Amino acid sequence: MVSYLKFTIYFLTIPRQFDVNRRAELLKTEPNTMITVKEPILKTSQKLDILRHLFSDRPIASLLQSLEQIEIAALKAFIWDKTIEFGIRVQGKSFSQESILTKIRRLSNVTNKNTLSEQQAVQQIETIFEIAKEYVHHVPHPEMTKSATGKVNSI
Amino acid sequence: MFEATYPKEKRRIGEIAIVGPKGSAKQPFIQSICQDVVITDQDIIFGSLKISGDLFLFLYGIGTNGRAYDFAWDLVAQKILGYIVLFDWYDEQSFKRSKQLLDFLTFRFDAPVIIAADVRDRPYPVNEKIYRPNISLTAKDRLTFCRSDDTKSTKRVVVSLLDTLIGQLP
Repeated sequence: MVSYLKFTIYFLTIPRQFDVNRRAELLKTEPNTMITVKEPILKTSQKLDILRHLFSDRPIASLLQSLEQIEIAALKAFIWDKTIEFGIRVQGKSFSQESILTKIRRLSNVTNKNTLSEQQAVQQIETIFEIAKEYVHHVPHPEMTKSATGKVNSI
Repeated sequence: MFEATYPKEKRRIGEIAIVGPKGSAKQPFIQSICQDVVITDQDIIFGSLKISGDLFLFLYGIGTNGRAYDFAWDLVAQKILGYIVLFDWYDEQSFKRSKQLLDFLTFRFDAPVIIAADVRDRPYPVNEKIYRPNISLTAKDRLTFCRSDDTKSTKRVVVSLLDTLIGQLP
């Protein structure tokens, strides 16, 4: 741990000052000027809120009510990405994206994704969210998978 | 004392800000990882971690209300390597205040942010497979869980931030 930290800090302390100066030069400002970045569709805090709902096993519906259509589209993309990420984390190599798609088709009863109504889009988000919940909350804790011999089974 | 033992001209320093709403466990977090800790104010805590020789990691615990807030940003915001936003996962008010803080940091500064959801002595909400090493929210912002008074756990948060920094290098 110490050698890793040593290498990393040493490495990072060198380019950072250069980076600050270069940025300031590019912006023709003082090095201590704050950088304002372009506002993304979904704020980091909104993404955190989504994950908090997911991890706390709360419904997503309350979050969707206050969002505009473009934000709902961004939210859907984010939940989709995270569902795949958590699927891979939980299932590893046996994870298949096709299994999620099959579940979505079956549960949300949507045949053509190009002609989704707003209600269908929301329904689809709720479906993806439920699938993500399955991955997140149905990972057995090592303590719960102990066999009768006391040996911990792999998840 | 610190200045006398380690003269400024010989040190190499990486600086990290630990920010969080009032009541978040910045002090135990810093104390769990740093050898030297100075508490100047309830909302300003300084900790130094000697990596080796002349190489140090400085951790600034910064609160988010009143005078301490402005002072701290003026002092350290421009040269900080990255931010750790610490909040109590099970406290709704702590979460709400940390969201405002998170938006402030992510819109105004270019440095990476690790959101450290502190569970203290309560159970983690999900299996560690889900959140370790961390969950990416954007290219430079990550979420992870920790116990603010557990050295192993807080070290992991700091290492996550350093990993994110390395990932951002051209």
